[in-house]
Amino acid sequence: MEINEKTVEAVATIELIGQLWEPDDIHALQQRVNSVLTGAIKGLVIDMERLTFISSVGLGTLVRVFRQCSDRKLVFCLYKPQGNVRETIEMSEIHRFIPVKETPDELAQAMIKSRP
Amino acid sequence: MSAILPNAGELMRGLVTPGCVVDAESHILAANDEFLDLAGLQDLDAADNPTIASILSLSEEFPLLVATCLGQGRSFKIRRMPVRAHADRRLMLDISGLPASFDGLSGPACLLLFADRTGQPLAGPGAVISYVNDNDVFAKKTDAADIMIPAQEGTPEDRLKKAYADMNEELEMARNIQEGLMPGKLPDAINLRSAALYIPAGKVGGDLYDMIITPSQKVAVLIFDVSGHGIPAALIGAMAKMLFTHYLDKSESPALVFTEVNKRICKFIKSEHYITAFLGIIDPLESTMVYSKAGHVPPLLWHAKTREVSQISARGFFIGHMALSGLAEYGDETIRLEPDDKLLFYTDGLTEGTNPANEMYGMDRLTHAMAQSADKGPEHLLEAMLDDQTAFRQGCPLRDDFTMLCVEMGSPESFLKQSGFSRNDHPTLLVVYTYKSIEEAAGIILREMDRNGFPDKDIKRSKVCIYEMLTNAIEHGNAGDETKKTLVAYKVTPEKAAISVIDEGKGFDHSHLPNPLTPENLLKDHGRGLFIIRRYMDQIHFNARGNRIMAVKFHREEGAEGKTGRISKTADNS
Repeated sequence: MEINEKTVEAVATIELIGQLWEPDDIHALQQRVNSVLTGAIKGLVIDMERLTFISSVGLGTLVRVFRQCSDRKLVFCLYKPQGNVRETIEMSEIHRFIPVKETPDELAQAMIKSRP
Repeated sequence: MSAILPNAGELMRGLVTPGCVVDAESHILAANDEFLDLAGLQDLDAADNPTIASILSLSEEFPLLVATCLGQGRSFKIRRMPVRAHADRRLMLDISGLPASFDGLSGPACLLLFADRTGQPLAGPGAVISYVNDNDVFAKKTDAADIMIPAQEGTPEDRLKKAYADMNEELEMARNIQEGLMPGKLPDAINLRSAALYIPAGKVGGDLYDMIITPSQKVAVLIFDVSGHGIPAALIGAMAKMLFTHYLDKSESPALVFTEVNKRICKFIKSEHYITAFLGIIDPLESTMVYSKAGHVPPLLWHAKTREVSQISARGFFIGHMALSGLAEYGDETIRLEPDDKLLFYTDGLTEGTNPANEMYGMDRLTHAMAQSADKGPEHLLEAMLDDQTAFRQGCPLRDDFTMLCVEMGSPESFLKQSGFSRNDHPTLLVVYTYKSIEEAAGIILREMDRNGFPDKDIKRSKVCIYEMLTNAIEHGNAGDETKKTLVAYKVTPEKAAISVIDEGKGFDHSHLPNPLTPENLLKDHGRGLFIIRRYMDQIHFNARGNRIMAVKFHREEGAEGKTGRISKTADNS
């Protein structure tokens, strides 16, 4: 899995490309999130548009990141999960507490609310 | 002592080994008596402008050099210098960091001594080799100096001993390489147990064996023996091993493998060497062995039902003899095996072991020994047979190395029952040890579902479930121990896909798993794997122990209603 990261106007976006299930990738993602959370950010987005597969361990990581963001009072969103990834997220009802945004506008709206 | 430059002569005071001092042009500035003797000179004045090159031409023997010292002014210190050999076999002394000159010389100089490979000075004959520049001392690039052969010090007997020791060292290396071609540990095969013993007779023998699990989880047992011994046999053995492995990867027909190996290897073996071989491919679930023989001693089969030992008959000419390659025709034969039957593959060094009366151990004793110990497991059976042969030899050395490999068949019925399938289902088996191999195993099953027309959506859902089942088995069942086996048995038909995953763990209580959708569990970062499997698959079953899960997906047309629903509402924590 490839992990890309960028921060624009205090909103960090971590882009996941490929499959999220292997322990090494899970660890890498968690490390990246931990690193991002040490910065002065107001929100965190996991861009899932190019994520093709997710397992329950991957879902668990998203839940853990959600808790980390909640503890820091940061906005946390998932962006554009596709196909089976989206289906698995929905079936696990993670979307009940982690917002899933489908368009840049929706994402921008969510992040505007994060600003003081 | 003879010195053109007196200070240089001081360098060698007290030296008992041949030595000289050279300048940057390799002129000899001083030499001790031992060196002069070696060079056949009375003193340096007797030679016209003596250089190392001219001295070298006087000597027929050129030892590895090398110790050196360098002095500055009038106080000289002898010190040993690091030496290394160039790729072109020249020697180089690193004298960087030493004083740049001493009295009477404008450039660096050094004292060169004769030394052996370990740097210990030699008292014997040899020649100094030098080439000095600002930083390094090189071997003089003359014809003689280019050939850095060791000094032939000592008596002819000493030299013979040394040559013998060198040869032994090389044979030892060859043996290590050869043993590296045999499996250190036999692979963990499905539904059978196995063990092997290799007993070397000398440094390098011609025996090799291997056990390979084929992609369809059959077990290929290969044993072969190259005629002769020593490095030629080892080289041919290595080459044959590579060829056997290569063709086994392409075919499960032993006869075809032998035919192809024979074709190829005949082109390479230019000597009288040849190979005898036996290759059996065991189907541990069908309880059969397809085999072919190439001039090899036939394996023995102990029948558990009758408790009798028989030979597995086969015909086939040995491999690798160019002139006789026309005789090399091979055919596949098949035998039926029963639970607890034991196969003994071996090489003829076992039966050709002799006692002090020069009697051979022979087939009868081997057969008897196997029958006597056949109730033991493969490992103990081989140990008992080795003990029997060793006792028979009464201390006589082995004439030839030998190999024994024993396979004990399991019961397909009980094994398949454990996997959740019956024998009539003819499931396919896969073994997974690591996270890395999950993708490959899942890919095989998913491609099978695709071939059977399953909708893309169901294939993707099944993918999640297979990953979940295998990840659980490795992480929880086998406690992350990637040496433990996770067995996958699956059967895909146009109607349904059934996938069974069995780990080596103690099992777990699947009846009391928390629901990840309840409020108290929703924010937990674990506990969703089985939930996903239940939702995506149509049926799941556990065995009583809880170390096997079987999941079934029925074939539905694309668009048929599944169990999962669409998102009706998303959360918003902003």
